[in-house]
Amino acid sequence: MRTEVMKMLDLEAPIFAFSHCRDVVAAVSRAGGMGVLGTTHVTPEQLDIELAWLNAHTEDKNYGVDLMFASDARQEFERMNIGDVDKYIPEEHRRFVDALMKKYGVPELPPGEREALFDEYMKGMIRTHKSAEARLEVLFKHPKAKVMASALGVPPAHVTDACHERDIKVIGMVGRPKHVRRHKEAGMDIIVSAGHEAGGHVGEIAGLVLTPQVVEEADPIPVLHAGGIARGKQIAAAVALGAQGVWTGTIWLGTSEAETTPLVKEKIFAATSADTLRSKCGTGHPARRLRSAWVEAWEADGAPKPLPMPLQSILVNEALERMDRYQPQELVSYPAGQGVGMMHEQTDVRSVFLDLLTEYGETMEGMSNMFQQFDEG
Amino acid sequence: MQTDAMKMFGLQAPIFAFSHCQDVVAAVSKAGGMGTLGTTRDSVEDLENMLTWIDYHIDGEPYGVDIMFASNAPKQFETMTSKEIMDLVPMENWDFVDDILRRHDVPPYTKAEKEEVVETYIKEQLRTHAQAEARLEVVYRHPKARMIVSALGVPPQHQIDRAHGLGLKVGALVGHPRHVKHHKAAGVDILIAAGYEAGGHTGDIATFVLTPQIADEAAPIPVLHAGGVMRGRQIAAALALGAQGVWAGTVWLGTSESETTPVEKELMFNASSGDTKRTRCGSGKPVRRFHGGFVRAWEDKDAPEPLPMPLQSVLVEQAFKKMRNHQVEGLLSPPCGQGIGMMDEQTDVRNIFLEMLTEFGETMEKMGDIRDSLAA
Repeated sequence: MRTEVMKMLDLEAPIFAFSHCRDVVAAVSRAGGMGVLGTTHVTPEQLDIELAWLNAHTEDKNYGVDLMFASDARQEFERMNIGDVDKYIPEEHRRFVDALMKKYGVPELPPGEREALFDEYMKGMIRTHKSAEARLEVLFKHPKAKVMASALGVPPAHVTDACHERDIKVIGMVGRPKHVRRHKEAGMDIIVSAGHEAGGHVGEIAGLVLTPQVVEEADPIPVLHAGGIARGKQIAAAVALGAQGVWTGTIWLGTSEAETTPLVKEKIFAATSADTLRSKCGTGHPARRLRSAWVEAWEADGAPKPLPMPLQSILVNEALERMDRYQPQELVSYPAGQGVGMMHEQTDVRSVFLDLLTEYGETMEGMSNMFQQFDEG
Repeated sequence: MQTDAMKMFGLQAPIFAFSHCQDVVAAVSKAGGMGTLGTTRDSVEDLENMLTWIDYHIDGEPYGVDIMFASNAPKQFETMTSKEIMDLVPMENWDFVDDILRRHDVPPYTKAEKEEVVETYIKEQLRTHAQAEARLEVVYRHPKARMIVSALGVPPQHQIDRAHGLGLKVGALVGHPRHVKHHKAAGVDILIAAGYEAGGHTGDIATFVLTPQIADEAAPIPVLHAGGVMRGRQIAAALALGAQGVWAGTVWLGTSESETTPVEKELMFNASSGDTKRTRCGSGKPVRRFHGGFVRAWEDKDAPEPLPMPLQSVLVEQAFKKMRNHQVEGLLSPPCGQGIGMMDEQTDVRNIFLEMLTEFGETMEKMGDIRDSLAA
C-alpha cells in the first residue's frame, strides 16, 4: 500500500521518525521510512556537520530536518547577551534552579565552561525565528534534506516559499483542530496531528479524538498521526482514523543507536505510561517528559512559574547540561511520550522498524478477515 | 462478524453504551448494542422503577447496570448521621460553593434547606459500599439485566460470585495497565480500558497507548475501548488496537432521548475537544467535565482543595441540584469527554447507532483494500 504521503516522498513505509540522533535518522531513512533530525540542541555550524554525515549515511534515501518557529519568541531576545540575563530572568528562578542542583549534589561545570556554554547557547541555539532561519540556510545547502518540519507554530510564508522553490516538503504540527486552517493557508504539504500522549511539545487533546478531526479539517492535505506509537497495531489504528502514516519519536529513544544515556534508557524501560507528564519546565511551552525529581520540583506548590519561551530554556540550559553530564539518578528526565509504557528493553532501529511493519501488516490482515465475516453476516 | 464481547451477550454490534438515561439504554440495546445504565444519580427506589421500565421497553434484549464501588469510601460513613457527615465538610468549603452559585445569580439553599437536601442525598445516593450493594439487590431482581459493571475499582468478591451464580457477567473500568491483574484474579469477565479523553472518572493515559496494553494484559478476557468514541472509524481503530468493541458515553448526551438539558446540549454542540477538563471538584476523584463556570471556580488560586470521595459529593451535589434547576449557561459543567468536539447537533440514538455502524463498515472495507494492496 502506498499512501499519498509515501508517494510524495517515495517511501516504502508510512513511518516518520523524529530524533535528535543522526544515527537513528539515517537508519530509519535507509529502512524505507523518513528520518527527521531535531535541531534545537546544535548550533548552525554543528548542524552543517550533522547533515553532511547524513548525506553520507543515507545511501540513496532522503531525510528531513525539524526546526522550531515559536510564534511568541520576541525579536528583542535575538540581541540578548550574557549581560542581559539578570534583566530578563528573575532572581527567584535562578535561585530555585541553583537550590535544586545543590540539593541533589549535582557538580558544577569546570571553570570557564559555564561562560562558554552560555555563549554558545545564546549565539547558536536560542529559540527565535532568526535562529530557525540560520538553520534553514544550512538545510538548503544539503539537497538530500527533502523535508522541513516545523515543531512549533506556522513557519513564515517566505520560509515555506523558499522550501517549495527547492522542492522541499513542509510539515506543520497541530494539537487542536482549529489550528489546521492556518497551516492549510500557509501551504503545508503534510500536517502532523500531535495528541496529548505524544512526547515533547503537546496539547491536551488525545490522538483518538484529535486525528479524525484534523484529517477532516486538513483534507485534501495528508495527515500523520503522532502520539504513543510503539507498536504496529497503532499504525493500523491511525490509518483507520484517516491518517496516511505515523510520526514517531519516543520509540527510538530505547534503541542502541539513540543519543539517550544508559540511565535515561533504564528509566524509560522501567516507566509505565503514567510516568510521564506535561510540564513547562524545559522550554516554557508544555512538553511531555519523563517524571523525575527535576520535573516534579517545577510542578510542586510554591515553585516559580516557568518563564515564557525562550527565557525558560536560557534559565535551565546550564542545569540541563550538568544533569546530562553527571546523570544524577533522581533528577534525570528526558522528553518522552506515554508510549514508554510499551518499551521494555534495548533493541536497534532496524528491529523496531521491522516489528512495527510486521505487526501493522498482521493487524491489517486481521481487520480484513474480520470485515469479510462482517460482510457475510 | 462476531467479537468475543458480542458473543458474550449475543449482540449485533460491538457498541456498549453508558448512560444515566433509561431511554438511551433501551434504544441502544434494541438497536443491537448493549445499553448500560449509570446508577449514581438515583435512589435505590428510583433504580427499581427504571429497571422495570427498561425490562418493559427493551424487547427482550440484554442490558447492563453500572455500579460505583468506591474503593476508599470509609465504612464509618455507613453508620454516621447526615449531620455528622456534613460536619466533616469545612465551613469554608460550604461558603465557597455558595459563593460560586451567587456569582452566577443562583441563590444557594438556606442552611435549613441545605440540611434537608443533603440528608436526602446521603440517605439515597452517598457513594458507599452499602449503597452499591443495595443497588445490586435491585439488579438481581431483574433477570434481563445481564451485566454489572464496576465504574471504579475491583468489585467485592462475594458480589462477583453471586452475579456469576445468577448468570450475570461482570465488567470493570480500568485506567492503568497495572490494575488489570487484580480484576483478572477476581474473575471479572470483561474489562473496559478507560482513557484520558473519556468523560466521567478517568486516568491520565490516553487510549491509543492504554488499549493495546490493557488488551495484552487482559487476554484472554475481552476488552472494550472507552474514550472519545463518536464515529465509526474510531471503532475500527479500537479493534485495530486489540479491543473487542467500544464503550461510549458522551456521544449519547446529544440525543433527543438523553436526560441532558437543552442548555447543556447547546454547550456541548458549540464546544471543541479542548473545552473539557479533568477535575476533582465533582466527586473528589478526577472526572472529565465540561470546562464551565463551576469547574473554573475550583481552579482559582484561592479555591479550596476538593475533599476526598465521598465528602466532595456531599458538598457539591446540593449545588448541582440548584444548578439543574436554574440552568445558568455560564455555570453548568456536566461530565463529558473530549468527543464533544465531534458533536454538532441533536439527533437520536438510532441515528447515531446506524451512522457509527455504517462508518465502521466503510472503514473496515477501506482497510481491507489497503491490506490487499499491501499483500500485492
